[in-house]
Amino acid sequence: MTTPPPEKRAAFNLSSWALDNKPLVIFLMLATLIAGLMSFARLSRNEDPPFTIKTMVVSVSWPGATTRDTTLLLTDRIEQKLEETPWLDHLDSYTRPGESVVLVNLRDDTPPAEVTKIWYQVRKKTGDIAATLPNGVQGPFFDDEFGDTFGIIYGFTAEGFSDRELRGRLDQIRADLLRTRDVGKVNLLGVQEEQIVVEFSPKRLASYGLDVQAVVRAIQAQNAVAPAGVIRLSDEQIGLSVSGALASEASLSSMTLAVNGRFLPLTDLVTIKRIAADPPTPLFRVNGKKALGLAISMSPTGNLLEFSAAVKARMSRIAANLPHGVDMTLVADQGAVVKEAVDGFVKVLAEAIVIVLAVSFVSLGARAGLVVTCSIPLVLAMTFTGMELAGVGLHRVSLGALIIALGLLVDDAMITVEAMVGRLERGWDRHSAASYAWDTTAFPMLTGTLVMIAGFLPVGFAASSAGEYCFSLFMVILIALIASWIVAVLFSPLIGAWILPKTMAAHRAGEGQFGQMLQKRLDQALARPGVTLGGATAALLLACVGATQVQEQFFPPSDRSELLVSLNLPNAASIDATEAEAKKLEALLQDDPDVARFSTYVGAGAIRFYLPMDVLLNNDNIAQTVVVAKSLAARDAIKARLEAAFRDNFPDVVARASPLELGPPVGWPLRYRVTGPDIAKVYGYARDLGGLLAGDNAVRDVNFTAGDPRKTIDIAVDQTLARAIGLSSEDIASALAQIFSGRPITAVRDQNRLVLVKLRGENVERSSLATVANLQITGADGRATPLRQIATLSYGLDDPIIWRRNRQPVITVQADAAPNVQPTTITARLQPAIDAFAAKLPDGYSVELGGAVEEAAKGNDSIVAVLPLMIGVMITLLMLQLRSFSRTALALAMAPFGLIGVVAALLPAGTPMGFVAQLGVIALAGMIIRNAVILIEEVDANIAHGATVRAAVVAATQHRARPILLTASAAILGMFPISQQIFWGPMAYAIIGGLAVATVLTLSMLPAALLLLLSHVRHEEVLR
Amino acid sequence: MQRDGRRLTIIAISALAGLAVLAACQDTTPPPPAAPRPVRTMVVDLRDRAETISQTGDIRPRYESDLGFQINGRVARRFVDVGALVNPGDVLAILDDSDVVNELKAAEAEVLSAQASAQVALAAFRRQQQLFDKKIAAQAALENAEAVWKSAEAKQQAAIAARENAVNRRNYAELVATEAGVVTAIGANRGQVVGAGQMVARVASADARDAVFAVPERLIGGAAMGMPVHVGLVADPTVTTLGVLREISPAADPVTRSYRVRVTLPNAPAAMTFGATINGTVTLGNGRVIVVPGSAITSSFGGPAVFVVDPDTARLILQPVVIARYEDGVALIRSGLRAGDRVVTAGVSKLRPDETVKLEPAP
Repeated sequence: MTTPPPEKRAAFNLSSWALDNKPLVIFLMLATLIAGLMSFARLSRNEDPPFTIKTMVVSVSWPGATTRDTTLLLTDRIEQKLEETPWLDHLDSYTRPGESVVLVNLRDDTPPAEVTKIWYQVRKKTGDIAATLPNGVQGPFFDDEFGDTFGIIYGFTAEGFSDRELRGRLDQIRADLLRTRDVGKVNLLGVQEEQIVVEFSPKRLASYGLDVQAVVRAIQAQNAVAPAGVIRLSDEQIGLSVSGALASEASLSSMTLAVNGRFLPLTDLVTIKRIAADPPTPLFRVNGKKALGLAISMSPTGNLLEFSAAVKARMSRIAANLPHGVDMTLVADQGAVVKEAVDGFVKVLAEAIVIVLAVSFVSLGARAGLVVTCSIPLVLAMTFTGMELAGVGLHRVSLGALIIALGLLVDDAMITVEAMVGRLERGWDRHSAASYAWDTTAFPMLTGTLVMIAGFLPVGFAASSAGEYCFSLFMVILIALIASWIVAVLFSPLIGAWILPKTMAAHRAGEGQFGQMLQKRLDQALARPGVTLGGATAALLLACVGATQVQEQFFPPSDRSELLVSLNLPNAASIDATEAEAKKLEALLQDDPDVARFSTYVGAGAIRFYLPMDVLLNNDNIAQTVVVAKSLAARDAIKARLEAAFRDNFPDVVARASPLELGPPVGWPLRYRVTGPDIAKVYGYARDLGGLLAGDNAVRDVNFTAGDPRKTIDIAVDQTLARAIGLSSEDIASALAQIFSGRPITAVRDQNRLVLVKLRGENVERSSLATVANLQITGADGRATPLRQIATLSYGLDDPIIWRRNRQPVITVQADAAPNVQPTTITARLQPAIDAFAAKLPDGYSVELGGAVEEAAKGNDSIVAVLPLMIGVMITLLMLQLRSFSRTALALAMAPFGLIGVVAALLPAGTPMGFVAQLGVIALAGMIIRNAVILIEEVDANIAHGATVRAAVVAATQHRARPILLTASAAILGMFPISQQIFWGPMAYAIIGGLAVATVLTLSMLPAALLLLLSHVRHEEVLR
Repeated sequence: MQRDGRRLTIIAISALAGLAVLAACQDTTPPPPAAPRPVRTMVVDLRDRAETISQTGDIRPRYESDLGFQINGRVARRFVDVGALVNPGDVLAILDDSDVVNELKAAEAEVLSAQASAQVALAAFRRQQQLFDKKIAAQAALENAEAVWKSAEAKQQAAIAARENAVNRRNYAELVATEAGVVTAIGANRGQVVGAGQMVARVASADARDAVFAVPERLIGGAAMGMPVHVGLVADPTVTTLGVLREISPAADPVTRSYRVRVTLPNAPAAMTFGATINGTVTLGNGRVIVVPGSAITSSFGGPAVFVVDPDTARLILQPVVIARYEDGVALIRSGLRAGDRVVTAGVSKLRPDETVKLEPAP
């Protein structure tokens, strides 16, 4: 049974070269290990993979304009110009009276490197048209750092300290923090700038016969900064300065005016007080109390865990110096979350390693198993180095990819060891065994590895946000598998040469219990090849039918214990109403035992504290609370309780409690956009569509982004009468604005801050509608004219906000899905009804699908776009390896049979197929084909050695059974640890099921097919 | 082999059947529909909601007279200042009375002289009479003496009257208040030469106060005599009283195009001093309207609308309405709703027409 080793070949044999240059190879091994360790320590750690937020915000304000004017003359102009932006996907905008905000959204397939350049283009283009915008426009202002993540947030509450003092302290803390290494931005949250308000009563002023403008002018003139000149003498200059600047509200109060020959103290006419900004700018609350916040972001070059620790250390030092009354609370701590997540992943990685090692030990025996064991650290080290070079950090996707790769990367080492063991059993020496391994297995192994990598090509080249999110899956697998090949041909022979015994007992394939059972099954399959093939095909068809029943998903919700609660009041609501509702919500959370802490943002959405967050912009009618629950179960309990409370106690508010999202941000899962030229009609159609949606039982909480009206009082001025009296529309408008909104008249210079002095009507008059009707306007000559004299009032409605998409007004109908029902399922069910509805709309009005389904479609389309490339690469590799059309076709034909196992794994439990699971299923093809190729090759080799077709097939199957089963079980068992993770679960189950069934079929159906094919060919040959 | 083959087939078929059953079990039983949410509603009825119109004005006295001396002269003393309360008969100021005193003396002397002349003439007449009776004097002399006597009598009367005049003129050197009131202005000071009729003191009626407003032409049509007007101080809104509209000026002020309206304040509190700025409020009946909370208003095709609950089907109807006006927190609806309709008052931005709802139980 011993065959002598062949003569040394002339061609280059890397394995034998390795054995000949042991010191060099040992050095390389050590260097790899050290480099891997260093890289592992240096790799950036994150919870989610970094991906580019491809949105930019351009905002302009035009105080005093109506919504209509702002839309047509400001928003439309800017949108027209910005339509030229390269890589533009669509423009969203919303317009409020006097305020216009445009969101520039780039295409999903924009190369991330281009994005910064495109933002400069946007700035440039908007600057170009800035000169053509109407007079009185303020701006444009840009926010291209929309994707900045503020992972560390501290809240400060003050008891007994004024807001100003707290603000002063926070400024100091901020300055201190900015000296930390790697700090990016430090923003203050909830800061209310102080104001001095000068409140007058129009009635009282009217009775004095005073024009309020005279008062304003007097104050402005006293406080103006005007140069007093300099005396230039022959040898020096002497400066002149004139006093009069107002230092505080006390100096304002002491002002005395000289009017009409009388002296009037200012306080007789007006009330002066210093208050926080009114109406408030967005507010911040922590655990139910008003607070100021400090949000800290890291610069891109930093290491999150080190930075987090540094910041925490600094802040604890600062906290120790804070006086009693000022309390600091840690609201968000990304470092802890990331550490926990990465530790969790690393633990799972360790488990996977242990499982794979156990498999190799059990199946290969002690020594051979040890060889495989030793190659794993080398592969991991090389992978970590490769990851650092490629710029891939440690996060959810890359760590999951490592675990998936684990099951696959032991293949190469196993094959090499198998080959060596096989030769050693025949009595060859180790060196020759190693060379033989290279000769026979290196290139097939390479092809097989490349085929498996090709299965992951769609992930790497999918040009979409979802693809960018999962990109590191491809990168890590690519690096890991290539590294495994290198280790298998370079290092494993050397390790094998050390560890494997000089001689090994021969061990026949086919002996032992397992081998007997396999033989029997194989005989059964080969006896009736037709039946076997037919049965498998029938199962495949059934699986296809079953696949239609599997629910689809984009990305699952996160397993973090935070809950994001958003409150949306009607669009015309004031920030005070929003604050009241937020306080109501906080009352619910305050005594809840499941809540660890919570923070509320009133008048704005929560700041981006983790990257894939659907950030809401500043609007007076929204409030968002971030609730940190004590555990995942607690989170779900809180969610259920809140939803019950929303139904009963929050009638005017659209409230949503949702867990955090994974993957690119989506927001409301079900979204339909109704667009058309006339916003009133669009609202009507949107309402009808909402009714249609609500008709489906699985839809919850239908709401609309716009359309609800704002009440207005239109003052129709009789211009002729007004002019006869000496008043104009401008006078009336500014008189009204002065009373109700207030007008800044000057600024008091207080150390390094400008405190705005605002003139406005007294509270009683300001908050009463009757004031408008009964207003008396003082003309320039001091005479008071009742407003009714020159104007008539009419009471109507207008739109507080108009959303547009691609320059057409749009109202989005949003809804949530019932628990355990996927939005995709609901959308598919509703599609016919919605199509019928859309068909009935008049010209120019249409309904578009948005939300999770749109995002999923974008992701899926990007994957499908790369599929041809993947198939082409696979075919090329297979042709290179197999050099036969029939064999290639046969190998490719094995791939779909994985679906049987996928469906069997997902359908019974109702697990939805997410985006990641789809990627896994596509990659499964590569794994299945690889196993098939191994078998086909062996059969060909046997036939080339002169065996009959049947004998060749049987021998090949028996011989290859163990390696195929080994690799499959390593892959399958290696997936079990991550099957418990929310993100990877479905993919793990899909791969486990698919690979298991496919392996069984590879060992039964493929031989039968080969038998049929080769018999047919042989028959043909014989006939010829 | 046959048995194995059959066993294999049975296994395969049962596996396939199992898969089929599992697939069938996986049918998506739609979850139960969400129960309809409760809505807050109210039943509306027609009301008379008058519009309140308010305007500022000031307090003026009912009567105000400028008192002055009836003669020219130099003011010798002034007895009152601004704000002094005077009663009828109080002396307010006196002129330098040396002239008039002299005139009075002269008149007195005149009277004495005339008296004496009259006495003499009487005696002469009597004597003539006696003489005539004794037929000594001629009739002509008697008539002459009679005439002289009558003339002297007349001169005496004249001198007495002149003396009366001089007494009066001497009284004109005192300025006396004719009615009770308060002095609101002083026109002359001591040593000043004033002419007859020049204002020396302005006395205004203390108790009778009016509120005076300048009402624009658009509103003047609604003003009616005898209309009640609520008047309150601007400086201290808690000080209020009720007045009655007493006088409407027939002609508009040519510059401001407003009409002066006077409102009597029979029970004006003391805090409402003259010149105080006051706020007058009238309510003009504006027809019957339906009052709904402001949060009930939504829009339908650009115009205002409210959601009404159909009592039979518990579905919502989007009912367009016409709004009369807004007041604090409420909207007054002129038409579109009927009394007894049940209107949704909260959450209207989330509701849709034809939606089935559940009424919130009454608290």
